[in-house]
Amino acid sequence: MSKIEIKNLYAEYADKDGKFQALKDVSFSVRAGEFVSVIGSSGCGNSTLLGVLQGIISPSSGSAFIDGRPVTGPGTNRAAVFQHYSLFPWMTVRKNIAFGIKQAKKSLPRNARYAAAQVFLTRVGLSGSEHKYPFQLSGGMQQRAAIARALAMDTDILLMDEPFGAIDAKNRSNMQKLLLSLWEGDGPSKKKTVVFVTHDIDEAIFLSDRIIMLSNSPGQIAAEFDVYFPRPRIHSTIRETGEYINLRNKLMTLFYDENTGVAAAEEYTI
Amino acid sequence: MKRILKRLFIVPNALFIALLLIQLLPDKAYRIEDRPVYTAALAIALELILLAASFLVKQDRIRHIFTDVLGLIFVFLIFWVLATIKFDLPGSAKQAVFPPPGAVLEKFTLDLSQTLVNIRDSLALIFHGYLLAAAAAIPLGLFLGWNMRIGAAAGYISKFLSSISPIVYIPYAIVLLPTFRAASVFVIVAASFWPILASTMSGVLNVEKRIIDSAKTLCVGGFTMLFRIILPAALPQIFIGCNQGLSVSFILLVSAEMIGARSGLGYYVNNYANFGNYTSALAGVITIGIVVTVITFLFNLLQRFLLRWKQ
Ligand SMILES: Nc1ncnc2c1ncn2[C@@H]1O[C@H](COP(=O)(O)OP(=O)(O)OP(=O)(O)O)[C@@H](O)[C@H]1O
Ligand SMILES: [Mg+2]
Repeated sequence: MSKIEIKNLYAEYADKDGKFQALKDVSFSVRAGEFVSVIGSSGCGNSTLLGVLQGIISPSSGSAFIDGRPVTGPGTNRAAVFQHYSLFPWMTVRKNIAFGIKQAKKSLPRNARYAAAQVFLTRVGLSGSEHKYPFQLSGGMQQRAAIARALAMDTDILLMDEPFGAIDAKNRSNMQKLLLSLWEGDGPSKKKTVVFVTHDIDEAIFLSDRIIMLSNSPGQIAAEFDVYFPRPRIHSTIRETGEYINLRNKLMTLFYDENTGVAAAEEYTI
Repeated sequence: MKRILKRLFIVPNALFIALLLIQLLPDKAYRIEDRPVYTAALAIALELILLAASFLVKQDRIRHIFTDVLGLIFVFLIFWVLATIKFDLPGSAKQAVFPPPGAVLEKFTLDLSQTLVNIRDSLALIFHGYLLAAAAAIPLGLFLGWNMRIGAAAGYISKFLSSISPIVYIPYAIVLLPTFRAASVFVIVAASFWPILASTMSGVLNVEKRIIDSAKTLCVGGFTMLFRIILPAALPQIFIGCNQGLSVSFILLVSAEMIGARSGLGYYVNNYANFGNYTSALAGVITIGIVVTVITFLFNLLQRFLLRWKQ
């Protein structure tokens, strides 16, 4: 049984002149422990798709299933990182993370929550900032704190919406490695299932088992690609291989075919 | 040296000297009750504060607040002395309504022990009513704002009710409530309840969607959502209503203490005004002003502490 299954999903927003179709007939499934990236140009429904999986957006028809049960609302089996990182501004960074842990694991005593929060803060490179409030952090630091919160919750499923968007190249690479190490499980714990939205094709290839490309207006699945590189992957090594260049070209062609964005073109030239 | 001179040659100091000098002008009106020595004593006390502040306070912003406020007080005193004693602008017929500062200060000193009792009793009344109002209005506002459907209707109803001055309720409060004290407290409750309720409701409605979504994906329960997410997120707006409520409470203090009180600042002012003793009444009004300023200052400190997470 697949961990996540999306069947004939349609989503729409109320518009001033009726309805705006954001997602049209999207179907795919994700196996337990699989890392799936969703790529699509800005506005093609990436966040809407994740919103449905998070249980905060209701589809207009079709449905999403998790462990075979339809998604009717948020659940503690899922942790989310939003595109617009959403820490609670009145809690310090450490408090934010400890609060997330508390929600996911009610039984954990307070000391253990704070200790775990500190561990994840350190792992995302924020030790020293634990007592700061979000407004005292840069955008990238806030995003790392939001990621730490989601990772610290140690849920089966991670839903991440451009989590590394505001993070510089060096930290980004560290965060990717951290995410992969947590996804693979540090210990005997089973692999997490990840749905990861990104605009960065290289990032998608480096991280994913499979890449789903969405096309624009309304958002539909344009293509799916399996990514076979063995793990652990080393970025500098795999990017030299023919398969990598081949896959990347395919994705690029499709991306530009589907979307004509100047900003995107600048982002992806080598 | 240059810095010391620069801090000495400021307008407020000049105003202080002017205030002392105008005492030497001949009195226009013969006003038996004036005590210029009190005015001078106050001026000197204020000047000492001014000097201490201008040399001891390092931060420019805070030092300027001291010098500017004290300067304005000097201007006010100069105007008061000139208008009442030196030129007698009101004219002899209306002298009683416009006592000179020296007389008011003398009354203030003579009544000081009574004034302290008044301050204590008035603050007890205000806090009693105000805290009751806040304890009722904040949870109710959170609930109404969060349940949007009831909230929309409640918004209009509270607009309607809040436009009625609490003074209107006084006869009903006296008839319905067991004691005069309860009726007085009720006036304060009625005054501060509506602004706090309205600001709490609008605060809840304005909480950013991403914060609510973020809380929802963390699966917070109803109680946690209301008190650990919505309440802090709406707190900046709630404070706006709490500030308004506090001002209105003090405005209605006089009305509240008209109901059977035997002490309190509002009672004192009202009582003396009724007997035509405007010197004492004015001393009371100034006391109320000082108390309001101090309370507002403390309240702002609390607000700054609770909202320290805001930019
Ligand atoms: N609340 C809303 N009301 C109306 N339309 C909306 C709303 N939210 C999103 N949309 C529309 O739905 C479409 C998909 O939005 P979505 O947020 O899923 O985009 P996205 O793919 O995540 O874009 P980006 O990559 O820039 O974040 C967009 O065209 C947007 O205009
Ligand atoms: Mg998005």
